[in-house]
Amino acid sequence: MPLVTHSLKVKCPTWDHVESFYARKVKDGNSLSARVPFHPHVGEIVTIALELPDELVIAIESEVLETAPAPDGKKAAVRMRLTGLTPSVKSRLESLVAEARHQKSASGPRPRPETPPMPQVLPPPEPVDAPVDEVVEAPVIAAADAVAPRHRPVFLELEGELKRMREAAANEVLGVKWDASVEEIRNAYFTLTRRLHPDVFARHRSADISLIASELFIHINRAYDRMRDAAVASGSAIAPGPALLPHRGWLAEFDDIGAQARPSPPPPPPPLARRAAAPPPVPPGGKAGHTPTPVPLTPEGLFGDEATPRPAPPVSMAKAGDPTGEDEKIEAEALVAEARRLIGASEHGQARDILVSVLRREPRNRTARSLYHLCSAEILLAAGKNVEATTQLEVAAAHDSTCEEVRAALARVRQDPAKKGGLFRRLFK
Amino acid sequence: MSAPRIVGIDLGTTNSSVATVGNGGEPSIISNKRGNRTTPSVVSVVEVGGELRFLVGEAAARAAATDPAHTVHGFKRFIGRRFDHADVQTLAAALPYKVVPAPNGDAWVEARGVALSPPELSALVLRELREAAEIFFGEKVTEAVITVPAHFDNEQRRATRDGAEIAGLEVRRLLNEPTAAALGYGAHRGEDRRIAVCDLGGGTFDVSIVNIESGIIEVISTNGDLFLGGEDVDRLLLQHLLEEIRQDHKVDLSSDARSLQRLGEECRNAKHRLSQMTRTDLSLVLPGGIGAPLEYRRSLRRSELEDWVAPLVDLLEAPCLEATARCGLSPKEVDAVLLVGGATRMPAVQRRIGAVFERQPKLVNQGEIVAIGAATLSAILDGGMDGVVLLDVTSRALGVHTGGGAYQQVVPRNTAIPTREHKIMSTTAGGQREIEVDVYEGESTDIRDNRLLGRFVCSGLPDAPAGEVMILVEFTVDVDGILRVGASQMGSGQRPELRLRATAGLTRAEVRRARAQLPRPA
Repeated sequence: MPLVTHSLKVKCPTWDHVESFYARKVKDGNSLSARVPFHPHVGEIVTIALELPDELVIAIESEVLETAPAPDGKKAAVRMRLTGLTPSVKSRLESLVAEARHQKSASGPRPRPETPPMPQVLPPPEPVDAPVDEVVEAPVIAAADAVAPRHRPVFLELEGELKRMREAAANEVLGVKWDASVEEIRNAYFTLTRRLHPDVFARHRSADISLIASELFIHINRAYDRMRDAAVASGSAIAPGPALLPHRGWLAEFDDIGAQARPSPPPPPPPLARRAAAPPPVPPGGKAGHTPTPVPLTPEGLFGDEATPRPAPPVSMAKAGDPTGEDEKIEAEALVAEARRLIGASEHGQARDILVSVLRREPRNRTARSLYHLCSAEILLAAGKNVEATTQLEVAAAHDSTCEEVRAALARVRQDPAKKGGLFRRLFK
Repeated sequence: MSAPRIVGIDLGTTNSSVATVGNGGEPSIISNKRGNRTTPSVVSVVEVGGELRFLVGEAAARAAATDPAHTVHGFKRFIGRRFDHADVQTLAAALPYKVVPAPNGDAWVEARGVALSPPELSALVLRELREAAEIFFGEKVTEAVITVPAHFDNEQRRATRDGAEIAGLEVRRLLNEPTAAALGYGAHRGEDRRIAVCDLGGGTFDVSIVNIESGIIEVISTNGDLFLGGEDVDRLLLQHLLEEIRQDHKVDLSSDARSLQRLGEECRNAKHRLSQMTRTDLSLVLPGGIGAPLEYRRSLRRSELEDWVAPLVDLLEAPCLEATARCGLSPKEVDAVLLVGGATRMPAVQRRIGAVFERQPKLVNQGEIVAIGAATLSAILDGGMDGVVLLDVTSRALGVHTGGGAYQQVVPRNTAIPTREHKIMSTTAGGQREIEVDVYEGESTDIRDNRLLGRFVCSGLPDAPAGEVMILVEFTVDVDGILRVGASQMGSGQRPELRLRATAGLTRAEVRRARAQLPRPA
């Protein structure tokens, strides 16, 4: 015996639907025609689950009399005899409908808490087919006086909170200033979490409280999301899912270089003494005697937290982007060309040192920046740090998408099955 | 009057267990009726005197040897899945029992002519656990926190919840397994830190990065591989041995079901032994397709096994890196690595994950920690643990596809739940009375790579010119990670009727019916 036989759900959202079901849809006392999403055989017993507006379900046994495939092939048209719709069941339905109408007229227009505040105009009765799909109903927050008295104080408190939050701006929801720091936003979110997370209210075992608490927390989560987006847009954070971590800044380095006074004679390759402590990954084919100093992706102390103020760029930086002299420009071009040659020869460490010197003078030289990140990526790739290399490649592509070398590197990574997994997928779109 | 009891249940692919938190606040596993701490997730249908009987747990696991065709194990992999899905098809082809399509296209199981839906099978196991807990407490147990893999999608979560309802349990929360493991590990009691939970089970690999800050356990990213687990190791080992047998003994056993069954079992046992020992002996008599039975002996070294499974172990790296990269971390910035799931007992797996995060992973009691975590959450929900709150995230992106348009993500992956997003849709033709919205799960821009959750039909719209009627569709993901869709008409605020078509799973009536008719075990 199969455990589950076919059943047909007939959902009646209003009492008019109920009346229409037994008075109009059921012909000759107990015969019903419907289209159903399965193919029953003649004689099969199908249970009709008649769901009333008060969520009571009445099971009515019925026997399939005849079937025919529907034009769309998915459903079948069937005619059933409702053996379960006995006169007593029918009269019970009638009395339920009458009672519901009586109550409605007696107690005024107050709808049940589950129904949204709506229509004086009733929806038209059921269309041709019995509704066999699942009807989706959004749960509606109960009115306070419908909540059990012992839950009411908590409910009212949450309701007040929800009302306040619905009208508040994101920063007001969290209770912070609009320009709050990452730390402040996070602390505020955690304080609210401890106080208002739905789990905190689970002990009341009240559906009303759980619903309003999760509604409230949706507001808090969204406010946190928006504040985080703002922090990301302003560059003070990165957006890793729900966590809010201070931005470490890939490009922080260039601000740093910019902070150094111009004109500083750029001896290629310039030693980056400040970072000499970082363990340098060995570049491919690195020659003995030459020690490249790759910049670590996450340099400690480089604006890693908001407590460290960014050094204000000196005033002279305002014109840093413009080459001041024709010969300097030519020299920069020559240096970039030299860097390109070195990249071609896989001397990425050396090439990068040269590029750093170019960028010291021309921080906005896109080609140089792009090549610089490409070199970093190559060094990281050689060290097997694929994920970090990807980030570098992405930055490189963002600075100058026309750069031949970057394109070549991307094409190579694409063809390398070993690196295809993980983050590299992002580049292939 | 005392409040209803809540228990924590780990409903696993191979084994399940139930746990509770005692009065002292210490979580503990509840032994089943036979005194075991875990119960096999196996259901067997037997015929006794012309009557069908259902065996659950240990009894069913024993029946697997004698009656594999009517013994259902690993049904968790079918829960909430469609029959015609390619994974289900490949999986079903390798199983001794029958997987059949349900009238609505779901994958069901047939044993001795009885069609069983995965929720019903779950219910049988869950009821077994519930009864064990009832014996332990001496009173009714009606509520539970049940764990699911982090990557479980909407349908799989709903089906799990249906299973609990059939078993007479109200689900207080569906908890992601890696999150449960972090809780079970007692992460909330220690100092603030960031841990990675790597859960390599029988069939799947999940990684979650969890941030612990003054009692708040915040999952900041999850990732995983849906098709990587201990069973892949077994399969690979079996393939290697079959190839060897073919070369050494000139017999091809790959089409002989009984030999495969025995050799497969021996492979699994050998794999388990090799987690402790560096070499082990395989010895068994294989029926062999034709001719005399083959007496098979072989000594297997751990290094051989590790060489063979190296390609699988390599696959562990990408999800770990991606999970950390998504929260802007490098793997070594994680303070601790927690290994969960039976397959993490393999030394090669431990070494590899240790190498990715550059630290020694912590081994915990893989079989029980998830249930312990679920029990801990049940205590939190009961108000027995102040100051500890769990923040989880969505493991899948949700998006919509409307007629002719492109796929748009609405709720991105790794969004903190509960959450709500909305989309505004408008009619495209005059007099249009319905708007259809296809809701998908997945991140791909090509909808064919994503999974259709259902077609929501918003009907009963007013008769108006094109574009006049605007519908605000809301997507709410609740704390269980289950999607709820709502619609309202902009301007009037009326809620048009919303229906879900192309839906999978059991209807409410079917659940109620199954609950009333759930067969008693023998």
